[in-house]
Amino acid sequence: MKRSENFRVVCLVGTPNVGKSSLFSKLTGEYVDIGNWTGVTVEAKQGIIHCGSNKNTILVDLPGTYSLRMPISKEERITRDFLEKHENKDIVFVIDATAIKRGLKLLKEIVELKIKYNKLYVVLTKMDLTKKAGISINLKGLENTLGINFFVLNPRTGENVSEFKKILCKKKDDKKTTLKNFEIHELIKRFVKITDRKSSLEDKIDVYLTHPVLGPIISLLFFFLIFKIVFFVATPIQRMLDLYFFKIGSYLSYLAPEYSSFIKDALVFGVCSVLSFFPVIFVLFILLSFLEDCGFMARVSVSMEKIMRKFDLPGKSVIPLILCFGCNVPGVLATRCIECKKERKITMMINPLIPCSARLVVISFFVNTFFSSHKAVIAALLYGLSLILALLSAVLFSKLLKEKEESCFVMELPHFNLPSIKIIVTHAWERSKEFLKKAATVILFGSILMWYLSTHPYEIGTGKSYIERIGTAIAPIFKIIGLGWKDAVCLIFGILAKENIIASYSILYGISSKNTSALMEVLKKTMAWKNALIFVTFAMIYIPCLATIVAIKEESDLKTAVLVTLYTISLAFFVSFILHVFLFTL
Amino acid sequence: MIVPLSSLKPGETGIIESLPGGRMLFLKLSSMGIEKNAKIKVIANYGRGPIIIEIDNIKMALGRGICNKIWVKKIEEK
Repeated sequence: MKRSENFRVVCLVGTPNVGKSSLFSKLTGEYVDIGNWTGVTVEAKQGIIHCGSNKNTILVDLPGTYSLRMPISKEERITRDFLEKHENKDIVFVIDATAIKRGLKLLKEIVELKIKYNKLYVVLTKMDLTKKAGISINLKGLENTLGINFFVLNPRTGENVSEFKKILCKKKDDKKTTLKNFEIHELIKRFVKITDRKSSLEDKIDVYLTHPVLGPIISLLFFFLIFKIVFFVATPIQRMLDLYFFKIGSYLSYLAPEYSSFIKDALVFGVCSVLSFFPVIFVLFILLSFLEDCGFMARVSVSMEKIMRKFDLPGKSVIPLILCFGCNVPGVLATRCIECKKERKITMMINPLIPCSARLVVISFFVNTFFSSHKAVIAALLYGLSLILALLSAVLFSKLLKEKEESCFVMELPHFNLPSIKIIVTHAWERSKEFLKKAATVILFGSILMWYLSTHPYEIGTGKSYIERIGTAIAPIFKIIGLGWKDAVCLIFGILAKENIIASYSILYGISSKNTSALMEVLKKTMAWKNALIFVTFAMIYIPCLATIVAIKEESDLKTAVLVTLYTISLAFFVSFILHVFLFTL
Repeated sequence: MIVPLSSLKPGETGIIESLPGGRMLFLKLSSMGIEKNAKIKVIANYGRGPIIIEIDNIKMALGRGICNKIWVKKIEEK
């Protein structure tokens, strides 16, 4: 963390899809965590522009917004709050030349709302696309009337960016830029000519992609393909990582034999087996970020609008929900794009019901152990069940939440473009970082706790370890749904992170870590398939992992987080009970 | 002829006459260029679900509910 006072602050402001993030990464190259500013929590990306010998400059990438006057979404509020509360700053205002009117409107708001700044730089992007879009701009005329220079640059190719950086880095003079108020319609009338453009290939593609029936089918095919690619690319890497972690663990316990059980069970099996899941998540987020940045996801949201509305959800909720298949934490964060408060809250609340990749580990383990001849069918049924529960819960929450809000579905369809690899990677990294943080914090903590409870005061298997005592104490509740005390203990550890469930079984059955096939054999002998099915169903639904609960609390409030936790636990009991009745009495 | 936006077919154009009430929605629409006297073109309209429109050569998707409340003066084809 660096102290912010010694830096000059420059912030990027503009409407969405103008190329702010591209410009940001071209100007800074790295993200830094500068922390909170006096009075303002910055939830925007920050980076440092290295200006040679000059004082370093912090660049803040504020979320894109169409208006500052009445910020609707959380992202818009972040931008407005930052602009209002942080007085000593320079503004780089980014305008998309193909949507110049909209950009000028936002610029006018900066003047009218008396936003304070020292210097104002206006950047014009996508000038190369104006001809295709049927727009011609008289730049000189605009500059003269507004009394301000426009910097034309292309953040994607990097054209003129280094020149602009030099201007930004120039030794600060004390002269402030002041922009006088202006009349938009007059400006547009005088200096911008918009002619009807011919319909393009993109229009034709859009007609298919946004179609209420064809659109969802095409999207579904794309997502299926993505999951295929993820497992094709990431699974071999995951296996390799697993092997290396195991080797490192063995080597460490060889070096320090007195800590052998701690290293093997707590560190290697707990944390590293979770870390080995990182490639899957990272590859998934790379592909999803690509679809998002190239403009595909916007079309998916539109085509899903009709279907999602049936469940009182906006089409936009599809994006956070799809991210949940990777990890629920970025899924919760992605709900920020939903404007309506109520819809955002509902999306966040049903989020934990979407099975993340951690739960996939549990599902595939149980399916492989107990249903090896019908693997795909059972897994698909479990996924289907979660989706149905999520959607039905959305309807229920919508009925329960009293806030009435007029739903306002307005969404820009950005032009299709090939996003730069660097941006996709940083985007995916930002999201998967949450997962790594989780591995380093809650999962590490969980593994150590689990190891401690199972080895103190006596070794597990003696019936006197803490964990066995806890298990026997809570067992009666789980007996109702046909689960034993060992299952109950595993579920408790699953709260820290669902990945812990399998690890807990190994410890409880006293099987050396890494010997999955031995664990499968033991489980097969001690557990009936019916109970296994109930267990895995319960594990899918009950309580989001600790990291998700924290994310929900931070993105909304404690009440919602507690409510989601209680709701999912009760739902898990309810569904498992019904399943129990169905399997054992009918 | 003044009709709701939702009744326009793909390819048809209109001039916006009136927008739905509600300050929040009004501001939101206006900041995206959907305001009185703006020329609006329908790109896709399937009779259900959102409508794809174009204003100032920018494509947007609008919920059908809003489109029912936006009244436009239809420009007849020459």
